[in-house]
Amino acid sequence: MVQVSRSEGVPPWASDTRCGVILYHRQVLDPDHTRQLVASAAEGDRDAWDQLVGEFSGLVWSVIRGCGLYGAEASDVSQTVWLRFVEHIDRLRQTERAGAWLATTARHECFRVLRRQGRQVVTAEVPEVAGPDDSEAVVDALVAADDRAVVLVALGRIPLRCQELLRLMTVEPKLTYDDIAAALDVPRGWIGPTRGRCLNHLRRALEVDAGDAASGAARPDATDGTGIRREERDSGHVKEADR
Amino acid sequence: MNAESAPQDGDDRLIEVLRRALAEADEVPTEVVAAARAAWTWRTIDAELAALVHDSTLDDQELAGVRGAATVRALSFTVGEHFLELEVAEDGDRRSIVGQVMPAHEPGLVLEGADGRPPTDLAVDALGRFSARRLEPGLVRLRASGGPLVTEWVAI
Repeated sequence: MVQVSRSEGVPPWASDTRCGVILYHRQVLDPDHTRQLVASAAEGDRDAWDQLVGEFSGLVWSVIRGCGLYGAEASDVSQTVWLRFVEHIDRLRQTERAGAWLATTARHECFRVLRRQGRQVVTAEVPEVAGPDDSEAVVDALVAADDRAVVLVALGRIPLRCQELLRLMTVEPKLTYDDIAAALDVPRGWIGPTRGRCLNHLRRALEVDAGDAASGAARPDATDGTGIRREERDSGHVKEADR
Repeated sequence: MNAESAPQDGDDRLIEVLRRALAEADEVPTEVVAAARAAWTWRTIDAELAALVHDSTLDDQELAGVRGAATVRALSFTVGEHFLELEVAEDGDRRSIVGQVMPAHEPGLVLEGADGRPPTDLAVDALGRFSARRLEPGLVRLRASGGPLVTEWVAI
């Protein structure tokens, strides 16, 4: 059994246990802790291996889902990644970077599956986009409504590169920028600006979704469907009609 | 207010909203965690791990993207002086493999599947050639009988 020391007052294993996975509060993994777990596992300590799975299965899964794989395909890639990790655990050079190694391997294996299926691998840059005029209000409304489905729908509508990045930014335990950069095969300095762009994309998608929910079927004539509608607009009645 | 000038905490708040939504919707399935733990049982000690150095579906750009046609996938593994080539053909929902291991390892090879299938013994001739038919698809590796050589896992 691996002995792990952490600073006083910080619970070594925070939070609850669900589905056999230890979930942590937002804390960055301690590199020494990771190094010890990898060393112990490489020496044959199965408990250490189980702890590594607990620490990093969310990361691996997040990368795979961010690549756009689901169901059995996603499960197969996950298993491939963990089998590769077993193979390589006594060969890793920077053992404290096990998270980055797993993330990179997961992405690589995802691409292998996508390429075999003839699917596009997206590595394009994220286009610049201005956020909504009142971006805080969009988030305020979201927090107030506590509607998680809306967030997920919006996430599915932004560039894939953004979906990958934002998923990695929400992984538990929190990843370092170095790990995220390794996972996405980008320079560290790419992350900050792209994160800002991606959040603007997300805000816009949220705004559109909120707009759809507010109007949608309630105003079927809001489009340019009929001549009457256009006449109203041309004669300045459009505001009246929209109310 | 333009989002470009939005305070940093606005970004952090949105990330937090996203994190909570994903934590609920995208929890790692229990069977996926169980499989990750079980990967440990495939641990090998003092193996000579032959790395997958060529995969025609990845490395041959003109083949990537071609689907439907009955294609043969070529894989190469290597470590030290060992070299192992494998051709995988799809035969409906089964797979056929033809390969060569150099230098020839005449005691033979064993095909192992990560799904826990019984290992399959493959005869190797004097030139190092071997073959197998009607294999279940899945994650497999080849191991030299009685030797340290083992390939990386690969999905066939």
